[in-house]
Order: sequence, then structure tokens, then C-alpha cells
Amino acid sequence: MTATDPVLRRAPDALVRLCPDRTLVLVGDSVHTLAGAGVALWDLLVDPLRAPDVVQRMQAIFAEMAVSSDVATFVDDLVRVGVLVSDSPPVN
Amino acid sequence: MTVRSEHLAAVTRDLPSAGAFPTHPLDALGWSSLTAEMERHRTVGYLSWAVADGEMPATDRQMEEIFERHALLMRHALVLEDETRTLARRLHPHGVVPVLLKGMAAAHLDHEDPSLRVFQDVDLLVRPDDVDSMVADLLLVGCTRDLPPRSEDWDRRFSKDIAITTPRGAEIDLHRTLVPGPFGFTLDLEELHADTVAVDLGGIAVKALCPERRVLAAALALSVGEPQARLAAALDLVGTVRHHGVDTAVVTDLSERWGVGALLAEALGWATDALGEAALPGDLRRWSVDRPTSRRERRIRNVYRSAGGSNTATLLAAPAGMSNWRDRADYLRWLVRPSPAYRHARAASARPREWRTGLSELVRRRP
Repeated sequence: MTATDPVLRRAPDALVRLCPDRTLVLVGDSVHTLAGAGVALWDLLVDPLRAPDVVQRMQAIFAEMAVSSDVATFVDDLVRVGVLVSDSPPVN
Repeated sequence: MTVRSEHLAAVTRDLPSAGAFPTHPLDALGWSSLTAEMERHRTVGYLSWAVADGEMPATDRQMEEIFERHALLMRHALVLEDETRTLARRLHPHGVVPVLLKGMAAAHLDHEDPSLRVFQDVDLLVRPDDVDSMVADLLLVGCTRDLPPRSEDWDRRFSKDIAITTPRGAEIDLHRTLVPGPFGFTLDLEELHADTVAVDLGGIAVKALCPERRVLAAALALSVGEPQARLAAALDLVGTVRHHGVDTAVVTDLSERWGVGALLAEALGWATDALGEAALPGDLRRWSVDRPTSRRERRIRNVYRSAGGSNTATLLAAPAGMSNWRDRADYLRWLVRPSPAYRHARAASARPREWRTGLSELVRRRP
């Protein structure tokens, strides 16, 4: 982890609803519905975190949920659609 | 989220087990009837949370169905909020901050969680002097309106609201006043705008009415706003009182000054019947029981659809709420003989001829 690692945070202007089945509906560039790990990521980013930390913690959450996914791509997608923001370009 | 007593009432009032959740999931017919009622009352959010909490028994299929429906309604709510945010960004440089009404305002201010309150359109209160420029601005950016105004000054002087459809298909109702007909004209619009609170809508500052005015707005929606009262409006009213400690004297004084005391009393009675006595403070309930309704108020109330009247009767009775003869004369003139643009647009639409249906309804209703 270095000082140049991007910091990820929830988009401060995201419009959000959390449904009772832990489905998260958000508006970034368009409307998105996140379930499961998406909600976990949203919860994780209550405070801004450096990208490597996010990836590490999400990998643990994915493993616990028995979900197989490329965490970095998943996070990048959420940055791309504007529901997460990064203070520098996302790490490839 | 804990299911509170008024949530329980909201979900259970039409069930055979009225006042309590059933012990087993409803059969298909019962479930379908319950969800249809919840849709009509805009209380799907309450049912969804009651199912998630395990208070309302449901089969796996029913659970999946209600959660899916709820998520879909929340997507729609967020699209509407996004449209409102876009509109607010356009208006800010002109010094205009939109005032949210009804569902969107209540979702953010008066319910325990915004996901409890479902709404299907955007309702914004606009100062009469700002109505024309706001409509023109929206039409410039690709929004459309259903019909042109009945006269050049109709929107700012007489309209209840102007329904605008955005390019994304969202409906925005720009309200000059809160309700149609006579009561819409007895409200003091200057005073209505005089006390507002700030609301943050995804990083953009908008406004809503202050709690006392929101109670009155919910009471008007509950009594004469729709052909049939909606539980969501009662929950808005009760939620405002519960969460904001509304001053009973301020609410009741405002209602009397604005000529809608009888409607406030009626709405408080309806909310008490629907949600239980504990839902409202004793002094407000007592006021609603003790407040007499005059013959004139009753006569005017009866023109509204929710009391067996009709749209035509509501329109024709509107001058009863106006304070000067010039307004009455202008209103009736443009009501009966609207502009050619309005008549042509109406004829081109699939609507029935305006007065033929309405007047025959009135004639049929006469004893």
C-alpha cells in the first residue's frame, strides 16, 4: 500500500434506498440495484478507504459469502457508474 | 426495522385478522387482495418491511414477489428524485429552490426510513409568480405538458397544478395550490410558502414545508386530494406529528385561517380510525372531535369526489373559495370558454367532450 493508492468513498451525492432484503438501489449515472456483496461494499465504505484495503476486505467478505468474483473489477465497475468515487484513477 | 403500532395498523387493517398479523401466510387470493390494497394506499414499503421482520407471515414466493416489487418502486422513486435534483440545479441560478410536497418530502422527513414511503410522481410547490417561467423553462429542455392552459394567465391564477412529463417519462406536478376546487382558493399561498425546512436531496439543497404546514398538506391530501383516501397520506400526517412535535395550536389556527379547519378535523378522524387512537396526541384528537362543521363547509365539502361529488362539480364550485368578483368572473369565463389552443388540443386528444360527460353526471346526481 502506498500514498499514491486511490482512496475510495461512497459518492456523496448518491441517491440511495436500502430495501428490507438488503437490496441496495442507487442512482449514479443511471439506476443500479445491488444485492449481497454490493451492499457489503457499501457498508464497508462508511468511511473512505484506500483501494488495496477495500480489495483485501472485500475478498474476505466474498470468501465468507462463498461468492467467486474479481473484486478489483467489481469495485472499478461501481466507480465507473458513479456510485463510488475515487480521488485518483482506479488501480488496474 | 421494528414494526410500530401504526405500521401494524397500516398492513393489517383490511385483513380478516384486522388489527393483528395472521398466524399463517395468506392464500393466493388473500395475498393478491392485500397487495392490491397496499398498492392503492401506497404502503407497499410497510408490507415489505413487515414481511422482512417476520411479523407478516409469507410464503417464499410471496416474499420474493413483495421484495421485487418494493425494489422496483424504489428504483422509480430514485429516478424521480434524480429528476428533481436536475430540476433544482437548473433553478438555483435563478434563486428558486423547489419546495417538495407529498410523497418525496414525507419519505425523507416523516417516515422512519425513506424506503417505507412509495410515491409515483414528483409534487413541487411553486409560487404563483414563478409558475409561468418554470413551465416555459421545462418545455425548453424537452419536457411536455398534457394540455395548454385554458387562458394566458390560467396557470398562475387558477390552476391547481400543471402536470409536466420529463424526457425520461417522469411526471412532475407543479402545484400553485394544494387541492382543487374551492378549498384550493381559500389557502393563503403567501403564508403557505412562508415557513419551510431544508432537505438534502443527493447533495442538492431543496425545501419542504415546515411540519405544521406538512400536517395540513397531508390532511388536505387525505380529505379532498384523491377520490378515495390513501393510507400513505395518513401515515405522512401521523409521522410528521410523531417525529417533529407539531404545535397543535399552530396547526389548528392555520387551518381555520385558511378555511380548511373542517378538512383537518375530518383527516384527523380518518387517521385515528385507520391507525388507532395512540397514533395522534390527545389534544389534536379532541380538537378534531369537538370542532363543529358548518352547513356552508359541508355544502362545499360535498362537491368533491371523495364525498360523492364530481370533477365538474369541484371545478364549478371553485369560485366559492375566491375572495373577489373579478377572479370569479375571469375563472368562470375561461372555464366555460377556454382558449382555442386548449379546445383544439383537447379535441385532438382522446378525452371525452368536456362538459357533456361532466354535466350529465351532475344532472344524474341531483335528487
